[in-house]
Parts: sequence; C-alpha cells; structure tokens
Amino acid sequence: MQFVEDQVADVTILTPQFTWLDASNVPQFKEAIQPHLAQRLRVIIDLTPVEFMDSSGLGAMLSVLKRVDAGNGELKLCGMSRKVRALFELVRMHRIFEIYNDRQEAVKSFEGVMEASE
Amino acid sequence: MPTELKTQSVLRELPLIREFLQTQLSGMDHPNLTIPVIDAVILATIEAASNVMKHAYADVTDRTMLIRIVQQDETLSIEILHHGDRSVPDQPADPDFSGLSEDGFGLFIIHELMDTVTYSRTAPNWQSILLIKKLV
Repeated sequence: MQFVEDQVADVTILTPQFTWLDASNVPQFKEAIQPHLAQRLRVIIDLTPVEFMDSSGLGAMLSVLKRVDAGNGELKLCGMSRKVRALFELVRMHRIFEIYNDRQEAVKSFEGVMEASE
Repeated sequence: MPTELKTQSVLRELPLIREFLQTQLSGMDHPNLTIPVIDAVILATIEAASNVMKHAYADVTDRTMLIRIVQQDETLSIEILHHGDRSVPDQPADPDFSGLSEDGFGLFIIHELMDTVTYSRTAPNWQSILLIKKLV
C-alpha cells in the first residue's frame, strides 16, 4: 500500500495509490501512512483514487487526524468521490474534517502557503 | 431466483463481496435501483459482512458465509448467512459523532441505509442477517 507524496511549500500532499479503504486493508493503511506523517505540520490527503470506503476506513482517517492534531499540525482532505462524501456526511464526519473539492482549494486554505510557494 | 456467493469469514474477502454485489446489482433491471441506492446497499452489506467476520466469527477465518440477493418488485433483499454467534444487537445506540471514537459506526450505517434489518436463526447452526431495501 503506497502513497505518492507531493510538496507545495510546507504542505505535504499524500495521494493514496489504492482504490478502496475498508476493513480488509486498514491495518496496512495505518502502517504505510506513518512515515509520511512524521514531522509534517500541514498535511492534505487527496482521496481522488479512493472509490470505496467503509466505517473502518473512516476510523483510520480519524486516527490520522488525531495523530496530526497531536503534533499541533493540520490535516485537510480533498478529492472525495460522491460515494465517500456520502459516508462522511452519514456519520457527521464532514463536521470534523476540513474537506475541499480539490488539492488546489485545500492548499489555498492553509494560511500563507500561496505567498510562500510563489 | 436468488443469486448467491459463498465466501470465507476473512476480511480480505470483502473486496470480492463488494465486486459480487456491484456486478449483480448493476445488472438488475428496476427503475428505483439507482446508483446511490446500489452504493448504499453495498456499503450496508459490507458493514454487516465485516461485523460477522469480526464479531460473530470472532476473527476465525476459515468459516463459511453465504451472501444471497433477491430482487422482487418492491424490495431488494440481501441475506448474510453464517454459523457464528448472534452477538449483534437489533437496535444500535447512536455512535460517537464527536470525532473522538474511531469505531462504532457500522451498525448505525447499516440501519440508516437499509429499511429493515432482521437477525434470526434460519436453520440449526445457521444465523441470518436480512437487509431489506424498499424499491417503491
């Protein structure tokens, strides 16, 4: 299970290289994402490739949020499919996560990033 | 005529179950079986199947599960048959929506997305979870 990691100024954008996140692969997800979170304060996960997520996958996203919060960082999500967005809304997690349509919007939402990257 | 998938009680089978459901439901001819309805039924079934594997079978991975689909004029029924314990409550408490808890959403999702959820014993040593979606 892999992620493509991009950097825009001090923002790290992680794009999963898998199409689903459910109880079958959550342990691998949690292990694989750890090194990408180390010492990162501004993180975006671009969920564009993820076509299906269940409650276990959503729980894994919450664990990432807690980890980033614990380090005084900020996590934002973007690129959700209609199906994944529906899951987040069903369990009210759209109120917990900062969710943007795409990575440009998500990057822009970090204060001072556009100036630094220009 | 029901369509059926026989599978093992192991979480790595979930993508296979999802693919089976996607293929079968997408091929059914009913005006109210729209993409959002199919997505909802698939998610509810995956949550229920996952619960059976993790709780009813307590992570014992070599047991049998059957997923059975029956479409009638007014309903779509998905039945999960297994030999495990009937350890799932009929009426789940609301999960923690605060973001502090990473689990406890599965039963809520199943009950929110389906119209009827019934747990029963159908034959000696067989437990059934019947998920029904109205198509009217």
